[in-house]
Amino acid sequence: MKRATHCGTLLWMKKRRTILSDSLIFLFCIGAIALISSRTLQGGSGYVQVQSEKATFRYSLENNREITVDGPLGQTHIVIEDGKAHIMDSACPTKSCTHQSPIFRSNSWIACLPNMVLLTIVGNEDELEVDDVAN
Amino acid sequence: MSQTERKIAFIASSTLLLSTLEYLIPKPLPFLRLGLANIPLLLILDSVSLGAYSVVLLLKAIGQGMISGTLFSYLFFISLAGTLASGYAMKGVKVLLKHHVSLVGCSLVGAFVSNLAQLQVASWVAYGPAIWVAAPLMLSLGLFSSLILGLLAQRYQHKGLIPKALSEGTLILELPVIEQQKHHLLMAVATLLCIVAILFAQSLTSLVLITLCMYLMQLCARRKIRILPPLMLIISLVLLSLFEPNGRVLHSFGSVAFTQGSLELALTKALRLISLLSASQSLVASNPKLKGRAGSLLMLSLSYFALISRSFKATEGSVIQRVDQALLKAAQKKDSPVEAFKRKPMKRNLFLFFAVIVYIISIYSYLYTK
Repeated sequence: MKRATHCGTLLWMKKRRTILSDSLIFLFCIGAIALISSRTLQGGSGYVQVQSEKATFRYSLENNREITVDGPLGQTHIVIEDGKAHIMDSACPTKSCTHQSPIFRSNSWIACLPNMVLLTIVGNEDELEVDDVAN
Repeated sequence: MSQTERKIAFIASSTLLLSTLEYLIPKPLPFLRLGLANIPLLLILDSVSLGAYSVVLLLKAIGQGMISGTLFSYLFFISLAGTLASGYAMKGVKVLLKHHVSLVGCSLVGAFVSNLAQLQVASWVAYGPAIWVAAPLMLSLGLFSSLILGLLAQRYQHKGLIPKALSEGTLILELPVIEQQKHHLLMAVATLLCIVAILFAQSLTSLVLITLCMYLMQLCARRKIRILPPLMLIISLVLLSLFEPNGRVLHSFGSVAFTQGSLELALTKALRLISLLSASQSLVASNPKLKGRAGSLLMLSLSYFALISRSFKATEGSVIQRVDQALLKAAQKKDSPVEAFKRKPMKRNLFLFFAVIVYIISIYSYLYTK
């Protein structure tokens, strides 16, 4: 009887000794999961949506690429580079769309109205607010 | 084989039994895993050296790959990363905190690190960075399951006969008599060439045909075809394609959309990986020749595993009691030869015929796809 009580006490003491470390590890894991979740659920750097007369296209801003879209006047040539998008060339008379600065912020856009091509950036709203405050 | 080597092989084989048992437990979600195979690792954290522990980790990963047939596929890299990361993290925590940490704490750290490592390797070899959207769910479920696993390990440590025998050094292991298996060199070479063909295949259509041929080869090699893993791979890659828009929008759901380019890319990637997974099954079926000390150790683990599985069927009681009884029986068994892999005869000629079709499809698609 005495021996059983002694064993029980030892076990209880052992549990008490480890409970602090175990709890700290558990809390650390929860904290790390919360941090990782907040980062991953924020999303990437967004994408560019290209609307033409006939279809809508979407491309990630993370990869550099060149896209050609057909409009009523001919082709519009779009370039995605370093997370920004701009119109390189378009079959419009004034070419004013090609002089627009590259876009990268959420909801910013470039339009080539004669050729009916619209570029819009879709990203997360947090990024937009931070950039606006900085500006 | 020394008693230490036998002990290493025996512990590794117990991880194989537990991972097989886990596979048989019905799960509400396919990726929800308890990680039962980690119980033996938790139990030996204190009692074996780092070198022996590392060998057990490797044997566990390779043995699981041999049994499931995924040894020569991307799944092996993901599994290996998880096993090594969790194994060393658990050992590290135990060495650092000694008796201030319980098996529950070690299990929590192991699962957390294992999931992180698996996500990172999965993003490199199969899914791309988009897989990190699954991180919150995977890590949370892992935390919950590792808590249960740690408690299970503690319970087994106190009640099991094998942990007691291991810690007291009273476990004397007999060597099982192993039957040598025939190595099918031609089939192995044909499958290796198929892997090259899969990597060179260009179009989606060619990959569909190749996948079909690879499954037929797998059937000829007498390996079971499992539907769920490839289906899950296709579904997850298609869903992840939502976050990587590329091309014409086919259907949008607010800020995410299925785009033509992304879908084609996801399906091509999925079919390539599924074909490679099937090739891995055929390669394992060819009985790769295992040479040297490491090969003998692996064969010994697989033989112990065959013995334990056989003994497990004849046991009674709760799962813990049955595992304990099966391990004890297998440790003492010396008669009746065991085969590491038991299979029906293969259809070699048909296997080679489908392999040739795979080469032809691949060469055709490589030459004639833009």
